[in-house]
Amino acid sequence: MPKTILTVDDSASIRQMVTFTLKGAGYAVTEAVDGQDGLDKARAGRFDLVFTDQNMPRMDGISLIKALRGLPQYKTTPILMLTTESGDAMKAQGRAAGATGWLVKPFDPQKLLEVVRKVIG
Amino acid sequence: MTIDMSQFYQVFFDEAAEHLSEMESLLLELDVTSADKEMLNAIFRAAHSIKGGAGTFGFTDMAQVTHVLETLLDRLRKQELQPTTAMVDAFLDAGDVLKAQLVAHQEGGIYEDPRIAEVCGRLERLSVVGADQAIPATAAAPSRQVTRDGTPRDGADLAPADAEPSCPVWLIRIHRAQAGLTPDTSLDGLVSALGELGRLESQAADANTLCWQLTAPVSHDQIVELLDFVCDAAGVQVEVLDHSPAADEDPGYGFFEPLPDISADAASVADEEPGFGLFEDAPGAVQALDQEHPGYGLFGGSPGMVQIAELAASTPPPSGTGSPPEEGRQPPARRMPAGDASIRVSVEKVDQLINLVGELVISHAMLAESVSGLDPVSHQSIFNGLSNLERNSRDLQQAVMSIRMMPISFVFNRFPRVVRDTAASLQKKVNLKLVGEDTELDKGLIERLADPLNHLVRNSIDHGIEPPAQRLAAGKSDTGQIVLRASHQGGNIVVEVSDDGAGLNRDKLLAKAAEKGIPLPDHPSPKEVWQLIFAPGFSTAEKVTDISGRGVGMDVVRRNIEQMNGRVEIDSEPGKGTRIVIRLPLTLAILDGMSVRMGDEIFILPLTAIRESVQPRREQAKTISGKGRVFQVGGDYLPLVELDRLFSRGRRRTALEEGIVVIVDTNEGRAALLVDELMAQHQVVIKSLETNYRKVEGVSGATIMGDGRVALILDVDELMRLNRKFGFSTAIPEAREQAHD
Repeated sequence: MPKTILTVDDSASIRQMVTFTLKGAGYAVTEAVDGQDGLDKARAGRFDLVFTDQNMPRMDGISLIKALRGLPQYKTTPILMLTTESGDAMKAQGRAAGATGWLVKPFDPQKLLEVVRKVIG
Repeated sequence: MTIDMSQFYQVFFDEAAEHLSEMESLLLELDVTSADKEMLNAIFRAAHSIKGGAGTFGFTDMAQVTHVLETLLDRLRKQELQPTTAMVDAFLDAGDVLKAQLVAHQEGGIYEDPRIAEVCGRLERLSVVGADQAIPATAAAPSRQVTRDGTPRDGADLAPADAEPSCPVWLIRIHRAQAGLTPDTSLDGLVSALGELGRLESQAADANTLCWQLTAPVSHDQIVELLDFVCDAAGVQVEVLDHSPAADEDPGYGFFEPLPDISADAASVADEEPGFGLFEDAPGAVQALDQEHPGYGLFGGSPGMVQIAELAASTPPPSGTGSPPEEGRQPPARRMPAGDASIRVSVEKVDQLINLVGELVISHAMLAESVSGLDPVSHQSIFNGLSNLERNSRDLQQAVMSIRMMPISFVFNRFPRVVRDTAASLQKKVNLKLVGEDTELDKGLIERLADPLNHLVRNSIDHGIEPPAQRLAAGKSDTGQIVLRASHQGGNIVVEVSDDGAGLNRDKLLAKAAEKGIPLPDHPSPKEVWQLIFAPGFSTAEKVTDISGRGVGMDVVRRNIEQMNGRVEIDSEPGKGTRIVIRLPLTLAILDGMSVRMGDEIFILPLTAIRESVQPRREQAKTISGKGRVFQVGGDYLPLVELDRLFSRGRRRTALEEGIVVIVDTNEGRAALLVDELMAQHQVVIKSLETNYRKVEGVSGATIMGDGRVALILDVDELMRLNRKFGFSTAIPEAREQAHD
């Protein structure tokens, strides 16, 4: 069974690019349009990896990570934050919220696959 | 694996355009004096999303602009700076630049304009105002920065914005005393010379030292040579910065500046040094360590690391090891992302569909016509089937038409900006209110409505709304109000532009009409006077402005509206304001009409034009010398339009009282149209006469009737014009006729 990935981003073009890249590499991908949608979809299914953007309407990435870590089935699931802000503050916030790692945006498909392979094989 | 990124461009274009218009409407709503934090956040998010997409898909020019935009917005939303009108202006201009860049990319080109540098410079200056005096050099984004040590000019940073990504970065230090510089030596020349080489940024330095960072494709010697002109080489130090963020990244958006420790780690990873080749090592040892890679990283000891360590421990990693499969676990259902709920179809396809449905409606009418002679009782099933067919094709017609329907907000949404800009340039205060933006009408109409509305709104601001002082003197609020209202009324769309300005000046209009030689009745009604502003070349403005007042505008407005089978009405009250009402059919493809017979011919009269019909009496028709025939209804005399006379140029018809008179609304007021017989009400499919034959005066199009005959659709406004032309020419025979009466 392919590994499942949830990608949470309010930008349709980024979602499309992530989905296309990961599906092409054999992963099953589910898209969510913002933090709240991501949380709902994460609750409904189970994912091996969650990618989340930071700045989103309704619920931001940090809040989503915190909420996911509060769910028993996502206690140890790798969660990567996609963000254009790679500053210390954002990373510290992400770490405190329980993120597993970060990936800076803009990224290219190769970089995305590199980190995904590293994290879930 | 290489992925062709261009396949994602279209989605990005749509999305960026959406973000830009959202940003614009938020900016226009933004109250500078008490800015809503949520709103600032939403504006920031829009800019941020565009930046993310633009960077990802390689539109670096847009990424650069959004980056400076975002920098300032970020400071606003963090409440480090207070929003000002100047900022909103700069944001709006940046939005315009981004739109232009977006359009250029869509067409496969690049937008190049000095505006880009101007707007970016303005945004940067605004974001520096009030900032802590010196932004530490290491923390500063390597984007263009305003030089700010007092001596260099502000413009120096703007010059070569697009230095090559692979440019070396030089750190230039000049010890003032050792270099032989006195405190009042001007450095302008040096700064601009360096600025010409590449991107120059001044760095924080003390009073004795000058310090710049230069990103330029030049050698050490070239820089030293240049400095030699100005100062003693002893006090100059030029060194290359090996770890400059700007050297690694595209200039203009080096916001992913790696921290020193990251770079060190990244370098180690690249070298595959033991201790950093994390997954190859023992899991326990690595999972506690931070992993930093170029572009991404993992937090040591974070919850997710357990699984990653497990994954690393099992080599080769078979799928499923990291998380053991569970019973009954469902793969996540493929859900439609929000964007997939709609499809994009070319307008031609929809139009083809509408045409086909039109043909279907005609086919049904023909069938109905040919069975009309049958006995309904013995052929009940045929009649039932036909009525089902009629209902279904009508539903189908409506469903297909609705594809073309769009909310009028597509046009309305541009007006907050139009009003803001126009009012600002005229130094007036104007508030815009939009009502009924959800009202739907045909896409074709929406596109054609934009220009006339634009004209009317700008006209209202220019001529209607008075300057604030004058308003206050008149006892009104200093802020004028313009209302754009859309609604459905019967089968029509009514769009209204009203203002609470000075209103039209009757005397001025009449004087102007006399001057221009425009014919008017002796005691013109207010409506007739107001209609004057639609006459070609008519303008009462004392001075012609860029905004309006050339007198071509209103004329064109009326022509545009008439071409859409619509009509314009105007209403004004001195001191209270002016209201312009545009009535349009719901669609250009189908018309609700009344079929009328004149001799052997069938004509279609648009239902929207019909007021009432009356059985005429002989004494109701009168002839006024020089004005043609008129028809008396109540106390009013309406121009009498006799179709057969118009179309067959004066052929005698049967007596007036044997026909029927239809009172119609035209742009010149009401008129009486004499026909032989009213037949039936139809929904007719409009076929263009121009594309299939040629333009015929007094006729707006044609349709095919149930019996297969072609019926012409009448254009009452043109009929009026035609009648006037014809009426004058037959004034003498008319007079003779009256004598006969």
